[in-house]
Amino acid sequence: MTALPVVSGETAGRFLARLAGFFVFLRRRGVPVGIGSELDLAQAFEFIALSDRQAVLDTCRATLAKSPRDARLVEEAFDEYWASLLREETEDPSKGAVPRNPPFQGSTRDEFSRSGAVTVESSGVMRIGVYSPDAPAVGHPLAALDPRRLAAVRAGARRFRRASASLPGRRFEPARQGRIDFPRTVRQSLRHGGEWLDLRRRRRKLQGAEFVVLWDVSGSMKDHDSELFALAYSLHRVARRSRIFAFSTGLEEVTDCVRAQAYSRALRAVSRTLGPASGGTRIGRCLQEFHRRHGSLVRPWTTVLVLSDGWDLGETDVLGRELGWLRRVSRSLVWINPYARRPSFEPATAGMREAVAHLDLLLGPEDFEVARPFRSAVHASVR
Amino acid sequence: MMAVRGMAPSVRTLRMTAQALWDSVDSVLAALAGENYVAERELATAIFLAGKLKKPLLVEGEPGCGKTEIAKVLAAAGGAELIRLQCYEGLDANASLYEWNYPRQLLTIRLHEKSRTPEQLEDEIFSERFLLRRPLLRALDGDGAARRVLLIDEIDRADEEFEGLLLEVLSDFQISIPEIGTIRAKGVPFVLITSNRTRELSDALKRRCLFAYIGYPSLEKEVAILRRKVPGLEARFAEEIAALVQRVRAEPDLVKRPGISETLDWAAALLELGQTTITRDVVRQTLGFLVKDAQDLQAVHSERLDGLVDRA
Repeated sequence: MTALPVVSGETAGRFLARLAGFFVFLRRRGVPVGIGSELDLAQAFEFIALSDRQAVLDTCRATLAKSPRDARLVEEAFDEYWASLLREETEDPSKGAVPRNPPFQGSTRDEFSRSGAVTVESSGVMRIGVYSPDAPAVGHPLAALDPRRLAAVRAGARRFRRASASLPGRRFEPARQGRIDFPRTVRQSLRHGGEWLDLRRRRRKLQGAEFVVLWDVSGSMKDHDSELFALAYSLHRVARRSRIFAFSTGLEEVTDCVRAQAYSRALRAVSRTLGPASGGTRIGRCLQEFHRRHGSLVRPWTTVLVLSDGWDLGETDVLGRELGWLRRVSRSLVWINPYARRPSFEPATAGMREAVAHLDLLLGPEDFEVARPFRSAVHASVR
Repeated sequence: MMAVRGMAPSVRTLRMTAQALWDSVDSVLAALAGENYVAERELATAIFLAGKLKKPLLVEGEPGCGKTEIAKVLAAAGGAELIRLQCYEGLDANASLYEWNYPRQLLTIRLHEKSRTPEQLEDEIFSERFLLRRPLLRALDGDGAARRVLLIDEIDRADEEFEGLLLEVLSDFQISIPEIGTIRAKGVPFVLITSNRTRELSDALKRRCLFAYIGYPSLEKEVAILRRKVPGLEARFAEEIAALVQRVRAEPDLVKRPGISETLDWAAALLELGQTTITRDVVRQTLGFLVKDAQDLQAVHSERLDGLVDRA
């Protein structure tokens, strides 16, 4: 078992400086280490043997990681950081006196390839190339929607959420069963001379909704990307629990790019995350992948929205089977086809022909931009 | 490690006092092993540190891999009371913290409205006697003599608003009741929160917790679990079962992969059927114990069963 370099008779001050360097190193690797976690780790060191590498690593993982991804990154960074210190000391013991942050020297290192290139100049200045949302996009080009149209889509998404509400909110409504509504019961009792003859009850009003948005970003959808992204973005803004997945020949979740971001930043982040808009669609296979990897996200109160024109290069039987599953497990299955509101529209594509048998509701993106209530259509669609 | 009077010698050596349980990582490992829970040192370290730092432990992982079991095992090993809060959609303060006993309050008002002043009545009906303690309050309430284990199970099923409600409880171990005041825990309970990762938890909650992840077990670990949890299972048969389960788990497009609990159920079923080795017919008859999605079942039955069993 290898002892950590920091415990070989060094002062506590130097150890803490190196530990601080490790936190910076982790942050640059994408692990969001907060002050609270740093303090937890420092406290936890009181209870373990610092000479035990595995114990220190396990402690770092337990206190600094907050997800499986973080745990993996902590493990990778741990060896890299501390082994580098050990190497440095072995080569030149005098270097150990001044901890660097992070403790690497030389030029660009391969290890940083994920977070960007790192260069240490002769002056000691370290330059790290990292992602910037303001840099020009190179992935999937997405044009911003006109602000007025975006506002209209947002309002439409809000109307759709109200019509699809399936989760209890904070407000109450009268009900035959549920908790006793004391104010109403007291008011009612005044009709009977103050006697509580009739207990009034209330329950939570259904106000929230949960959406799963499956957004087709294949080549055939290129002309509709902007309006459909605006719709996906708006649905997420009005229903925080929503998840957004983009698909063409593969499936990719883009919820993190959208979460708590302004429209323009979300647009750039999604644009970078997705590949170029070319190639065909394998809707069935992508839905199958969604089913396998994220199937548990679809629950009886979830509304699933598929944003696609239905051009499918894959097997339509797989598409039919997966849509059947989605319809069975979700509250309602809604397909938003960019051509659905055209007078000449017919479900002519292979995917649409297969899909219509399973859908609860077929809408066009324009439905979200006009002030038309969804309530009756959505209510009719809910099974 | 202290003995517990009245228990069989083999059990007596394995049970420990709450104090001994939190002595070291090794004592946590020993306590888990004593309750037939097979754990890696990494998980034991996280449990030990959560106990020492008095912080909640958030355990995420695949369904059926033993997250909930940790709390049960720790409670049993430390002789502590296990208080479980099963999360669900719509879980609120009334069901998790406390609620006033309204019918009893009404009855008291009607009984004493002529003999007492309104102020006296108000003082009485908003006293602790009329408080219905729900799991979170019960975990904090007590004399602090025995450490309790609070299990908040499947928190990802609850609303995000419920996470906000938990923050005060988990960071300060106190609950504020407007009519009574703040109730502070005399002894901090060991808090275990489990999540199946069906949704991302809030950063605020994660910041307050230590973290551990339990994935699917390795072949060796699964064999060890089978040997401990299914008495009467021979070593060779346990290896056969675990190997087949590992192969099913490795199938690339299964919707629902079998967890450890499915393996244990299947092994117990095979034993009940008097099997001592795996055959194609018995796998066909009992595959429902392992594969619990209709589509997966159809795929395995029609295309892959022979391949899976032939490699056994």
